[in-house]
Amino acid sequence: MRAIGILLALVAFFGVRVAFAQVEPPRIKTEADAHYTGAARGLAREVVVVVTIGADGHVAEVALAEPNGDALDEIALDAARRYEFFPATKDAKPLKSRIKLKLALHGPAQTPEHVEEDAGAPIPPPQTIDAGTSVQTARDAGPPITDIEDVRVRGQKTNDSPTVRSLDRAEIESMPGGLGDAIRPIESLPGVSRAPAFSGLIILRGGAPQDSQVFLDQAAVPLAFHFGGLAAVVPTELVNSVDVYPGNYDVQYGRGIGGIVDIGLRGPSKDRIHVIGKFDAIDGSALVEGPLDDKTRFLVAARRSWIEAYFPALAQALALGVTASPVYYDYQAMLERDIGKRTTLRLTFLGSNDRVNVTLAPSQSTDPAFAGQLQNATDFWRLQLQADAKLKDGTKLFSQISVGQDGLLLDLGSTLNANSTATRVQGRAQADVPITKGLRIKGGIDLEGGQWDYTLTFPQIPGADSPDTGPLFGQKKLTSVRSFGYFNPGAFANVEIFPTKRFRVLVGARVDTFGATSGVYLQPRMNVRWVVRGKDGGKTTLKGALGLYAQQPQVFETDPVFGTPGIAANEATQASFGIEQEIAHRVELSIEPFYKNLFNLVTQRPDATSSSGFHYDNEGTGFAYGVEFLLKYKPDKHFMGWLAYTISRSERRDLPELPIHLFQYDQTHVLSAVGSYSFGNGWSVGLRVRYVTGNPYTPIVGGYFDNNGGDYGPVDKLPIYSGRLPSFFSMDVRVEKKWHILKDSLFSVYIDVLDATNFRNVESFTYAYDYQFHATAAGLPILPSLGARIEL
Amino acid sequence: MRRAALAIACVALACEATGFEPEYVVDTLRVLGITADAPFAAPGQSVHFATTWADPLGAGRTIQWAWGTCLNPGSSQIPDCANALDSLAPGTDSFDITVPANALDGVVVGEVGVVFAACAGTLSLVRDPHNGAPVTCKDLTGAPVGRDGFVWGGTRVVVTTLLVNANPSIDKIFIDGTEWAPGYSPAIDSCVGKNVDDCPASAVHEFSYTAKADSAETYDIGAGPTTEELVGWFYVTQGSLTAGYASPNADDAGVPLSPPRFDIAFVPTTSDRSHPLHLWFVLRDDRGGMSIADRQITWK
Repeated sequence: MRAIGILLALVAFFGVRVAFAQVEPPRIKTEADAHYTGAARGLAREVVVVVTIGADGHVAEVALAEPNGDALDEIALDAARRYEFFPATKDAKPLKSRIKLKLALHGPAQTPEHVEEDAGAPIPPPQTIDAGTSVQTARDAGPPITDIEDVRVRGQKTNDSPTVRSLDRAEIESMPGGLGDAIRPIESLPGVSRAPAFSGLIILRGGAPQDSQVFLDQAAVPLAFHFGGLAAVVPTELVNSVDVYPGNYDVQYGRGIGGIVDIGLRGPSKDRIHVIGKFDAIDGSALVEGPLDDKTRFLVAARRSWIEAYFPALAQALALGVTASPVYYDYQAMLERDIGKRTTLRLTFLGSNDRVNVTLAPSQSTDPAFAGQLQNATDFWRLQLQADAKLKDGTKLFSQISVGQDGLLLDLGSTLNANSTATRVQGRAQADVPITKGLRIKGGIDLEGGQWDYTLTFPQIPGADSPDTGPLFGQKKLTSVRSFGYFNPGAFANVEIFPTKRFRVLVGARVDTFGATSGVYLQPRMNVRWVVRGKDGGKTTLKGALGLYAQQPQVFETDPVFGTPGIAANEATQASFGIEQEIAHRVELSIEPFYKNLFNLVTQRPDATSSSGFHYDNEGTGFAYGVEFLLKYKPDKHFMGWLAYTISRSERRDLPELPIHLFQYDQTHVLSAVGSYSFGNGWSVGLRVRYVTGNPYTPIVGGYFDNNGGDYGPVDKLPIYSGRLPSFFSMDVRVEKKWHILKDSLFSVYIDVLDATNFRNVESFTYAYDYQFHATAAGLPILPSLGARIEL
Repeated sequence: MRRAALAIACVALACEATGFEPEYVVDTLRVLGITADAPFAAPGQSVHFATTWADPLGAGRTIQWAWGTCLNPGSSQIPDCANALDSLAPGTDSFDITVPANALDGVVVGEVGVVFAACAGTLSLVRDPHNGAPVTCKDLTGAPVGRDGFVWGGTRVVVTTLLVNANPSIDKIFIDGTEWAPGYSPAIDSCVGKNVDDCPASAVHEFSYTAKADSAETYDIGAGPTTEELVGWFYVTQGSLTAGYASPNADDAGVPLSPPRFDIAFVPTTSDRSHPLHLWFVLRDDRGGMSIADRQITWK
């Protein structure tokens, strides 16, 4: 209740400030989409347009602040003409005004399908609006040129989180070492830790992987990657941008105490039929899209791996003692239709399927539980319907319903078996309503429900910080067969207030209940943003955020056999503050310290009366803190690049009486330098250098003979995670050449070389059968990947 | 679970060729198995543990033994049982217990954890902080005895009145398809080659054994009838096996043969003719039951 009181007080305070404001700058009412032409292919830069806004809010005049001479100039002018504004006012009287509008344009760089790709796509991101605080009001003497709106023309984003780090498709595709993958490049952003090789984990701000969520167009999906990081579950060709919310995200999102990765899908192109094909050593994909009529567009795409064609032979040649047939595929279909001028409906069907059958020779494993035929299959599909409307008064409505199914099959001999099907329904409806010129309210509901059916046969499931269980063969097995429904309703609301032209306060709260737990979780959150200084001498913005977050236990943790029904949700308090400083033309520095306090974490407590030997309770605590630095050069037609550095520490205490220890993914230093230069004749070269502190590990000091398993188990050195793997270093290089082969068609060939210096990165240790000796297991050595794309 | 991750990761990672001695080569003090006459027992029931151990290069040195038990330690992990003990007690290579009468108090299924230590030196009943062992084993100079002369570990007895679990039985043993009776020591050619490929095809031999047909029991713990999984282990004092254990042979359709049969190929690499070749066959089910047999081979 105290939190509600504070929120109400803040609302009341800032509301009063707004009420007394007499002069108001113009504000964007309706954004316009960039209509890219073929001539804009390969171009990406910011264009500043001077816009004169009439007293009626319409654009009266547009002009380029600094003409560049390329096609983006005209595209920017065209887009700016179609913007609509709430006019500037003085004492509530509309005035003519003039502003600079900065549009970040990314032409159909490598993809002709970009042409008009964003037409109909809603609105610029959040930061746009707070940047609006720097737009000064027209004065009686005439409309002065004052400050800049920073507008990126692309799909809808939540505009209320203090920190969203986005990579658009042009950046993703040209990222060295990213192999053109849609998600892998996020590891080069601040706040994102390096995941162990082939883990497919996403680790944000020192949080556990399961604390962070992955969304496809704002609907949660169970996994981000095929086969533990081999490739994202959607092809890059379909991605508009990937947004990383490392923490302190706004009330619109919930059910997690970590961060969020939201993969925004682009809409189908409007102008004509486009075809894209892409092939490399791992998979091939095809995409077809285009208009069905003047209001309706379609897109279909599919991708399939072909690793199974050569991996068994490769494994045999390398005498790996393993034969495997890994296969993955994914598919997407989209239908988009304009309903009137301001509403767009989008129906999306997408899915993913991974399966692998491994034959592991007994000579490769001392534990029979991990030899023989091992099978793993995961799949999911989603059918999503989105409606997006912008009303004349500036109100934005968004609704979405998503139905789908997640499947898991794990068959590791007789010891580990899981067969699970989860039918999921997610629904979201939200409204974003401008109340007055300095006040905006957003609210909505976020529902999640469905049905779980699973059969699990496991030995006890160890906690993340539990010691090695020793050989699994011969261990007591537990089986749980469950079928149950669940419903996790949530609701959220926030209020955005501009007490001054340059100061924004956003306060709100989210309420969640979880079917697996009792209790209602009220999570107040707020963030502030203050443009301390405008453009002169470099724009300076301060920001800060504070909020509560809750996350339900994992399914097995509340299972009657393996877990403890009735335990409560994990919770966290997240805080961050920071500064964004424009230090030169196109160069911006942001520094953002953060702190995350974790409490009520679900952990295991030994319990002889339990069938699993322990029970779960909310006794875990922990914290993560650090500072994120990002020095970014905003992309122009030749260069894109940034330097990202995060210094942090993350620790956990599993039970109150136990000592605190390092978190297993704690990485003190995470440094990434990324640069890509386009020479203008179709050639481009990129370089990425990464240095990351090695993950903690628990040293093993000896071994014991486990008679029931016929094998040895390790004796851990306590405290756990007291050792560190060697630091990770990698230099990745990418070279690409593009040819225009036909009108509006493009062919490109690229080579992406991972770990070009062939630095040997240790990922873990392997041990002698009795744990008396160890050796290292390294990640992939230098790996060149050759690929080709054709766009028609 | 870490080993699960490692096994799967090694499919993807460049796991180094480690050069570690395979587990099936017995060239140090080793406990090959501890056979309980009752892997599942009721409260008050007596259980006898017989140890099969080897010290092929020990030249008959004395082995000191120590034992201890823990009741329902709250964890099935051997180190947790060892840590729950004040200390082990000196003993021999066999051990007897009586399951406590209160073993099922508060639990549906109980467990008696048994910890052992074998030391080819001076065994001291104090924990060794350096390797996590529940005892300390030192040589005459006071230096810790390494893996060649010290081993510790444990086993478990499931306490229940609801289920039974008999030990599986080894029925017949074969060498190159011929039944291999106890006491018979066939003679084979030695090979000086270090690797399997360095030895002639005539040096390849097949060891097999069968289990009695009723060795894999069927039981039900509430999830439907489940049949025990059997695994056959093989140990040799020298030479190379294709693997240290084998699953039961199956027909072309993948159906296990009856009676269960386990095959392994053997090559006497780097033969040491000064020592005989000793073999052990250990049959385990996945609920703690086991039986052990051994044979010897001489050199031609």
